[in-house]
Amino acid sequence: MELLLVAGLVALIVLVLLGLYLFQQERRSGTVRAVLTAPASRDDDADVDVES
Amino acid sequence: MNSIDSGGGRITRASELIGRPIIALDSATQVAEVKDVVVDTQSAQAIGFTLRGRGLLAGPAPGFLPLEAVHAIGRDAVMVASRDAIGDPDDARSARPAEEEDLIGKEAVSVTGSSLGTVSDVILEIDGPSAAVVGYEIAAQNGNLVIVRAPESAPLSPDALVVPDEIALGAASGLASFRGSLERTQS
Repeated sequence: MELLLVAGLVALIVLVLLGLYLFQQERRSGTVRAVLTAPASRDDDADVDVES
Repeated sequence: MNSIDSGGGRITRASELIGRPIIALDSATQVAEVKDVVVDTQSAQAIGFTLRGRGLLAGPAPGFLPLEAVHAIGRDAVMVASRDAIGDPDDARSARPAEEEDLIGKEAVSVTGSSLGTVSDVILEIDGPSAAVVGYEIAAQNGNLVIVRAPESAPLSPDALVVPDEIALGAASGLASFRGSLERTQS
């Protein structure tokens, strides 16, 4: 029973440390981002010549 | 080689700025770190940095630092006049461009429809507080890394970065040779 408790505690500590490590890795990561080019807006009111 | 001084300014990869401390001139204290470098491919200019706090128990990222609020981008630190340059996180978020995406890994396609490879880094020419986009480092399909000259304007969508065909002609294999080709073009 005691052995099981110790093993559980060790597993919990390992999980917490792994979580902290992954959290730090995420925080350390950075990248180069770029502004997306806005698509040319469609002018729905533009005059369109339609030959009938 | 991380950065090279040229006639106009210092040539460096944008990724070199990631993690660089941001220091306030008035208090000489580090107020944040650079998380992401944000560029505008349409105007070929860097426009700011997203930020993160420093240390293990730092709070949430303070927001966005526009380049107008930067005093200088140095070799080892980004200098701002004071902590106020970072400002209130809510105000800073509003100054951040609404639509931006990760440029790294984006496919670079020429105007005639040929894929040059994927963008692996952006080359900046830093002069005081300004940073112009002067090149793109491209991972070609054969695995080689080449640096091509950035056009004055390169449209970017979630799918691809569109560049002129002729930029592939002046491709350089490293920062030093890229600086050489840049200087030849400028002179």
